[in-house]
Amino acid sequence: MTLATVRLGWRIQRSELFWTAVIAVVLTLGLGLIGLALQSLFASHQPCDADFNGSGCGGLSALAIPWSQYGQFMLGLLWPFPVVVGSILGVAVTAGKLERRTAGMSWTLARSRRRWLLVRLLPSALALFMILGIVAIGAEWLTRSRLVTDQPGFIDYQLRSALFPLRGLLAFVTGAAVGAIIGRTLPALLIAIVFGTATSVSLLNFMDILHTQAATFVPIAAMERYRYDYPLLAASGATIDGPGGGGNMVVPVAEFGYWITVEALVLGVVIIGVGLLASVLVNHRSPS
Amino acid sequence: MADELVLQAEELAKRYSRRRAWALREIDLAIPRGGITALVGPNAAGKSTLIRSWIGFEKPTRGRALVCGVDAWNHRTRALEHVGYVSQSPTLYDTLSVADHLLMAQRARASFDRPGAERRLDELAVPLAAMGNELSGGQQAQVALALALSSRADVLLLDEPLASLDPLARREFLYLLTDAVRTEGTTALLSSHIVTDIEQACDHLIVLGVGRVVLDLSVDEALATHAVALDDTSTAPIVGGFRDTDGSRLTVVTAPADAPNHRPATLEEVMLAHLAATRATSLSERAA
Repeated sequence: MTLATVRLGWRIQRSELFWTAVIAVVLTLGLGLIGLALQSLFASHQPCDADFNGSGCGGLSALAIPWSQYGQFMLGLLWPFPVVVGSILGVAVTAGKLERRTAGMSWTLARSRRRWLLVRLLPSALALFMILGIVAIGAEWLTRSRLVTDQPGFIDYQLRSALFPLRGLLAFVTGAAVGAIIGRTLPALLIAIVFGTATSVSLLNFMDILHTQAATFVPIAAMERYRYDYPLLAASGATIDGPGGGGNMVVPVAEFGYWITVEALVLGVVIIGVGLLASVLVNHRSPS
Repeated sequence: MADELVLQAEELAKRYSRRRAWALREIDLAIPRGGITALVGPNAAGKSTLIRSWIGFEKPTRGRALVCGVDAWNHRTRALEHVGYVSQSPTLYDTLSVADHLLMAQRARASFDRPGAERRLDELAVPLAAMGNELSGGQQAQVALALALSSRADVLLLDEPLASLDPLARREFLYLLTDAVRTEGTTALLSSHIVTDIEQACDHLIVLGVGRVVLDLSVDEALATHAVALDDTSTAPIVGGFRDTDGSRLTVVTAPADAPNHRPATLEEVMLAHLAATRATSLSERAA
């Protein structure tokens, strides 16, 4: 694949990518500004921690809590973001071209439909990964600012790590596959978003199972050296709020980074699988 | 010789679903290299389905569609190497310029003659810098034809490309086509439901009616072997009859064009007579 081919692929999708980038920049700026406000508030009230414990906290909670809530709201917006933009871009690659009838012309010119799909998917996938990566950096900055720590652990980890753009890529290939089946943009988009959401939720549940299976019992007394917010289960299976609940807690023994790698690998396998499915669907699809 | 045949259909049949009628019924055709073949027939005669079978867009229900001896469905990529295709309503990418479309074709096909395409479009005053959505329907069709012609394909499949063109654009389109066939030895199959549009450009005529081939002759043969009976005394075998625009009934028979009490039939009259006969057969089959 040459640079000229990538450039063409980019130009075909540039409208969707441009608007995705604009929204991503707005979101990232919002995350960054809120994070900056929280950082400067905590910096001017030292010593004071995220739970407003410390001699310098006087009056800080009244100032910081609203900003923290804005931050939480912004982070809440990020949960559907990769699924929505990934689906929009993925559906545009296949259903958009089928609906606009450009696929017929391209498919008779292309060396193969698989290559056609690859040329359309790769530049957009790369751009989407970078765009969502920037948003994830903004989410990391905000989360650290809200928690006043450099190690937020499992809190919102799917918004802050490589998992965020990877979830976008999964929605992207899912959108491409659904678009290849439906062939009409709007219905394909709705179905792709439903599928993407269901896949994300299923993956969360799957990771929950993995975490629990790999977890071990740790006495509450030993919890000080952890900063775990997940999963907060008592040995009995009941959910507890955190240290102080008494008894044992079930915590993953592996480090936070390990679980990111595991989930990224799971996502990678699913992305490749759905991508191959999209390729098969495009190969057997009639262009109208 | 089989290797001189560029398009073949062997007992080709296509049915889109069990509830729908056959779009193509046991089509047997063999189109030799060189010249322009007109594929005519009324709406829903199966013209587009036949053409789309040759570019691997439709899976035959039975039989085979071959391009230069290659099965178009089972070996689509290899078959498409021999084909240039212009669809019913060619649509270019909105966000790509005409020059980008040429670049895309060049990247997809090593044999693509980009200078030739630029020269053709320049002659037609189609600006290379114009974006796809800035061109009229006629100009988009010209670009699509330039792409198909410059791919140096053995055979051009043109699916009613004249339907959306104004009279001047039709002339220019047909000029480009006949010039390419004459100078480069390309074979073209041009479908239309209006025979007068294409009769001057074509040297072979295939008439499709209700999914069946009802006539497959050179234009000269078709004109030489059909005549219009001027009175009721004709004893020549009747092909079919239909009402003329002035309300009078025309009967086309199989007879030399210069037979007494007959006048030469036009190509349109030949086609209409065969279609009328097909319709009558189809109605009696349905009644039975």
